[in-house]
Amino acid sequence: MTEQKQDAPLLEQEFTVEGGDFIHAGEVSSKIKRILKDIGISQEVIRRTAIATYEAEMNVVCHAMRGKFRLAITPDKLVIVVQDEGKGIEDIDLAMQEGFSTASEQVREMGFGAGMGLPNIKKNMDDLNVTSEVGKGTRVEMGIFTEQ
Amino acid sequence: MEEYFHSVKVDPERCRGSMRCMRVCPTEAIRIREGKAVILEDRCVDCGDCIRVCPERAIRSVVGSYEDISKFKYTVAIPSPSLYSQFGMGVSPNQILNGLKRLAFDDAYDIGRACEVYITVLKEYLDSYSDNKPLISTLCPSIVRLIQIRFPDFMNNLLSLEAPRGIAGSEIKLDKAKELGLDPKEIGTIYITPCPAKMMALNQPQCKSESNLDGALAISDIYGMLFSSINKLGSMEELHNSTGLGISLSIPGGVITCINVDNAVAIDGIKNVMNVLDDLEHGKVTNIKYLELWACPGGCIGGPLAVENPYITKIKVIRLVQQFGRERKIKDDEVNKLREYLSCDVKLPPLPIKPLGRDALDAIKKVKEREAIIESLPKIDCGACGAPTCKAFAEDVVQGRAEILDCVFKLQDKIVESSQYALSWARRTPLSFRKRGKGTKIN
Repeated sequence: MTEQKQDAPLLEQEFTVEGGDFIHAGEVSSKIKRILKDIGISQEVIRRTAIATYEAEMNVVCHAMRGKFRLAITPDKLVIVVQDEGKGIEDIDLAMQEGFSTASEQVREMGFGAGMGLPNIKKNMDDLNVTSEVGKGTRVEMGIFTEQ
Repeated sequence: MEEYFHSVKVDPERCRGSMRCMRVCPTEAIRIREGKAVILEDRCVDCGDCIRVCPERAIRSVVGSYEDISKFKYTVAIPSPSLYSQFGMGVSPNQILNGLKRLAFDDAYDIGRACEVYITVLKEYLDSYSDNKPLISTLCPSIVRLIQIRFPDFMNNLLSLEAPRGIAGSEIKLDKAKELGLDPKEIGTIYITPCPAKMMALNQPQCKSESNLDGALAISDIYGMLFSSINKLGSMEELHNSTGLGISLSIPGGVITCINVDNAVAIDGIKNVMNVLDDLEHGKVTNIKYLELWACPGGCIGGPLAVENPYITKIKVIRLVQQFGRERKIKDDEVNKLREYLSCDVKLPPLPIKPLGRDALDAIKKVKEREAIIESLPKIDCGACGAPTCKAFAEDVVQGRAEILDCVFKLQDKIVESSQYALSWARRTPLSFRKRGKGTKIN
């Protein structure tokens, strides 16, 4: 019998989000939510993850050309990595502040871009790591423990 | 008590497996097995969308029968407010109540009165409600069941107040019984319903541990008799004694216009409701104080057991509300007297659809299997396997409810594969037979 590595994910799933596609925005978060319900993750963790993935998805839709979501489930944790192709974030510390947004007027008129995206992810997940390269894209890694 | 009571049932004698029900079911609760529709009890919310589309009328709502009435010493009909708009413009609520009473009842209760109490108490309830998630209306039992199974996170946001039909039942069973000197058990309270969901709620009460409604009759079942009873009316009693407030509850937005609260939204149609609840789960919708949700498009007048076209009927509802006004007629002391009938003594349990596996590991294994199966399917949702979508089929396979070869495309692949195998054997005929006559050559 081969021994499984401690942090090897039990399940990995990939999803793609198109930038600017407001019609289908939210579908990836719904799919992730469905998988978590099917696995029997606790309601509280699902609730928090659903909010965080939705914010991340909207960030891609509002700011990037496209993004890839990778959901990994390890024995004790859910990890979601979002890698987008877009303009990137110049000042990550600033972007983490509530109310800061670079969203266009058009996006704001639709009720998005209130500058709550990253702060809201941080509030709901147990850890969050954002790295970005201006002109190329942003990588958001967020994790939440399944036992709260 | 059964874990799930359902009023919506398939009559296997009539069912020819047309799949229409399976395709419209908003919660994917129907499968076709051996040519007959089968309802998955843990998913059905008794909305009755399947009843509307069945070409064989094989899906029915099991409501009470007319004979039930004779079981009681004294019976009272309690019509849903939607009954008031099921007849022509010239037919008044009072005529309808009188016609109803003469059918076979000892009395007909004007539900407008219970609606007025309900709205009054709801207003107070809303004033003291401070959760940041919206308060969700519980008038529609299908919505309550939908939240129990699909959105258990919102269980705490369900309005905990008895619906007008229950208030009516209690008032009749308790107050009227005293007045008549009867045991509450000797009085039969029969709800005249536009939908199967109310029948479900009657058997699995949402608020009181024991329902004070004894049975239900479908509007569609009594319509013909009621119609002729109304036509034959001579002198009438004053049975209708409420304003238009109660009648307005039969259309979406009716409650909201009565309670006059900001940031309240009415949504009808179960799929629309599911979309909004999904958005709520994502934290997308904020600042809503009250959500009025209806499974049926058009609200109660759009119920699958209502008779008239809901869009035409809506005009009559609006006219009746204008005619009788939206003020409440019931006095404060009467509201206080009935108040106890509105408080709930049961807390509904969440009934979430079970995870795919016995435990997390098993469930993860099955999620993986399901995703792999979905990838291998044509994803055209043809339905021939008896499941509404390829995705639902994949789930049925991992849960042992179906086999992969139930997919006609998979079966075709299998046939191609096995015939190639057979062909390879056919080619291996003995050497002496290799050269055959024309026409028997195997390519």
